[in-house]
Amino acid sequence: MIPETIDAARNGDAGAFALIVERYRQSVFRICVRILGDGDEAEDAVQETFVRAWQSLQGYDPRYSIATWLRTIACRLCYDVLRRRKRRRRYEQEALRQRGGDCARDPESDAAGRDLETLFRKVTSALAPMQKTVFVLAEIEGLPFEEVRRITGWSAVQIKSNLYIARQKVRMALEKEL
Amino acid sequence: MRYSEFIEKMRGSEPQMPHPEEVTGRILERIQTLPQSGAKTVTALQKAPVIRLRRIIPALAGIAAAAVMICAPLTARLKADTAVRTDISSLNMRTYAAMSRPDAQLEHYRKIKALRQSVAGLEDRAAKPQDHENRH
Repeated sequence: MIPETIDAARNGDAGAFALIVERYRQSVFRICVRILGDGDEAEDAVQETFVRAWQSLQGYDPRYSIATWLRTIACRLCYDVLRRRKRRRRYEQEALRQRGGDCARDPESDAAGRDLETLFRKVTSALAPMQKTVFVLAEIEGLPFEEVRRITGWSAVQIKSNLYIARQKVRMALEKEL
Repeated sequence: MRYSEFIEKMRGSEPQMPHPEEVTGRILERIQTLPQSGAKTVTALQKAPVIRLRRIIPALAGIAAAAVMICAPLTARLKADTAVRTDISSLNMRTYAAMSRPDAQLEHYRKIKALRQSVAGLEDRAAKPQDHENRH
């Protein structure tokens, strides 16, 4: 992203901010949908992420990537949603069974992609919010450890232990599914 | 499917946003109503702590009044007590001095020992059958 565009957005230029939204909405959506496992909720999270980003653009440190900054907002938002949802996990599983993968509702997307996303939601459904967030960032997004630490704000021990448990659970769930 | 294969496939796939333009439109619509970043206008969010503070002030005043009500009689009592309080150095130290004598512990030990011996003697006598008739 061009620094001038970011500066213009920081000065209140909504047009410049629209360019940022268009440039990063897909990458933010990818993280949100994989953490939340629901297309509609992920879209709401994307919307909320950019609104919060707009409100706190003055707090953005230009030394760091704006992508990382947006990921940080999105991840913390999704993590909060997951924690709130933890209590109604039963309802979520029911909804997942009924919807059966309506996240990828785009008619252009192929059936194989939908199946993969559905399988991903199934094998990660048993993960705790922290485990799921770390798993998506480190394992699926392939982000470096330091970036995961910066995004989540968690300690190295927390990240490592949660990632280890998440991998074990996903491995076991995959074996069960296939 | 192996775990590593699954992860590779996931990394390669890109879940598509169902309504990207709609989401962008909603974001832009919402930010129009919000103050622009860096603006110094007072918003409802910034007013909130002041409102909370106004609500807290009566509660704080109540707590302070209660503290005064408790502390005032205690302070008065303390002042009254101070007038009649005796200096600890003026207390009679005889008993304390008697206990601190160098041989006090030894005397105590001897008394206890004698007492134990007499108790042991009594127990011993009680255990043995007494034949009063054959004493002579």
